[in-house]
Amino acid sequence: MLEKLQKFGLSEKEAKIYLALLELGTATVSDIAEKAEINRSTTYVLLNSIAERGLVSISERNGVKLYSAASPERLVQYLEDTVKKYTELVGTAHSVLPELKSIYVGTGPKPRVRFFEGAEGLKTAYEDTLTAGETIRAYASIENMHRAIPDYFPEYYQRRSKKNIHIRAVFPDTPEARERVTHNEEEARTAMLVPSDKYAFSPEINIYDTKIVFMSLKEKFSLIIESQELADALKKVFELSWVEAQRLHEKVHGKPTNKNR
Amino acid sequence: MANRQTKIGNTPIFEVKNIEEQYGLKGAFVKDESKNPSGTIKDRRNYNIFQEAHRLRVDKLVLITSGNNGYSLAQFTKHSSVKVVCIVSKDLPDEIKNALRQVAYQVIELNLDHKIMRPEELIAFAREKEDEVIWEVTNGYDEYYTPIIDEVFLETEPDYIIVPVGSGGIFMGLMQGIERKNKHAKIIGIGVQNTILSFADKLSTPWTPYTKALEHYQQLGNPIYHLTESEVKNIYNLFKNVVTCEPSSSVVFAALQKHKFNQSDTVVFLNSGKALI
Repeated sequence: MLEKLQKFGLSEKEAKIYLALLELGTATVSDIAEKAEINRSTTYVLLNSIAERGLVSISERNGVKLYSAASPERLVQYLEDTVKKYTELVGTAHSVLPELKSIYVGTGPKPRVRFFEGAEGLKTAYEDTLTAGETIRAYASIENMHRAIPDYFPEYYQRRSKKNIHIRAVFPDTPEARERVTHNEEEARTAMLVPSDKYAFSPEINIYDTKIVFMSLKEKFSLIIESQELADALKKVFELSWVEAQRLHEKVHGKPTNKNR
Repeated sequence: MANRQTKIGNTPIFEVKNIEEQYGLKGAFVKDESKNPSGTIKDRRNYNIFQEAHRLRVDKLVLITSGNNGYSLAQFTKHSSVKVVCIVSKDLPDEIKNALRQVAYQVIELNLDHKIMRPEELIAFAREKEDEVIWEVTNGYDEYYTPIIDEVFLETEPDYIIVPVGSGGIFMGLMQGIERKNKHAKIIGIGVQNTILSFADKLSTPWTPYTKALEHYQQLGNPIYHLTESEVKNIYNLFKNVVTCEPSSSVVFAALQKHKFNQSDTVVFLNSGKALI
């Protein structure tokens, strides 16, 4: 019985006191303490706690406080009241949820990493770049892109261009890259070609908004990292490399086209 | 009741060719929430509120309403033990107050012009007995709007979805849907400048719990435009015959004038509907 009463929210000592009082009917603190085998001062404090829940009533005779157990049915009522209290709290939680959500969302995007596998995973990453709200900064290898998902380009370039999303890209200087940059104007691109003997790379890295997108074009997976802090840092690193890429490009090819994008 | 339930959501979406032609859009669609049982998008949240309140044996639901929200909620509860108490502005037309009285347990008129009522104050107004369990449901439950995203993307791949903005619950619900489903559409919100008594009355609100989130989403390229009263009336007159709507829902078409779309864009206009009153 002690264990069952504890399930109803009474502590072990409260349960002992309540059971003692049920047996005694009406009694003083001392009698209850003796019956429950709990010291008098603790019994006094806990009796008041049980009384607050309506399970014990208090009266006074000749200046002495007397405690009586409420009928056992009162326990059911007490639990029903508790259920009502918590049901009301569910409603309160719902009513504060909009403000809590707003604070949670309003503190800005939480860093998030998403991983996508296979050719479809690469497409998912490229599709995400079409949501860019600013010019995309990119390191890319044209031949690896076209080899990884052959049917996807150049239609992707056209869709990006239609959405007015421009790209500034650094490409290793290869025949495929040289051919591609001839389409810079219609594909909304400014590109710098850097010596492939020294700077060849196979993956693509795109940086835009709060995102950094890595596309492993040989191992065929993509990784989208959303982090304001990391994106800001990599944008600065890109600007630094862009200056050198521009110098290297102009050394071989002269001024690039579509430069003001 | 079961019949009402089965009709919630999965509302039709239809193409509006003359908007496409006139405004040079690749696609223009209307997601017609007026086809919900009470003729309003609010049915989506209210049905779920009722279900939860009924399950937990809540005695009363209280909310501030300018008509649609309270009417929709009371329609769901009217054959149950859950009572709906509508707090309305004294300025609300008698026709709407009377219609609410037909379905709600109680309609309490207050001067809501300048006072922002806290949930506990509304509960105090609705309380008749000490032990009643009362929920305040004016705002929130916006997550029940997120299925709209799935329904829209089943039909088309929009670049933009245009929604009316009052307190911002619909905007929030759809933004959450976009984020959770990793969709690429932007949400454009259309609200009103008059926060006390606009012609688009459902959009007048002196306060919203979503302020911080709305600011955040705007920074991410999901703009909210606020219309003058003459713009609200002008748009209503232009578009009231395109769909079954009221001024508070026709505002979405103002995006055609306020936002610069590309010719390649597909746009979905959310018609939040018009209640049966």
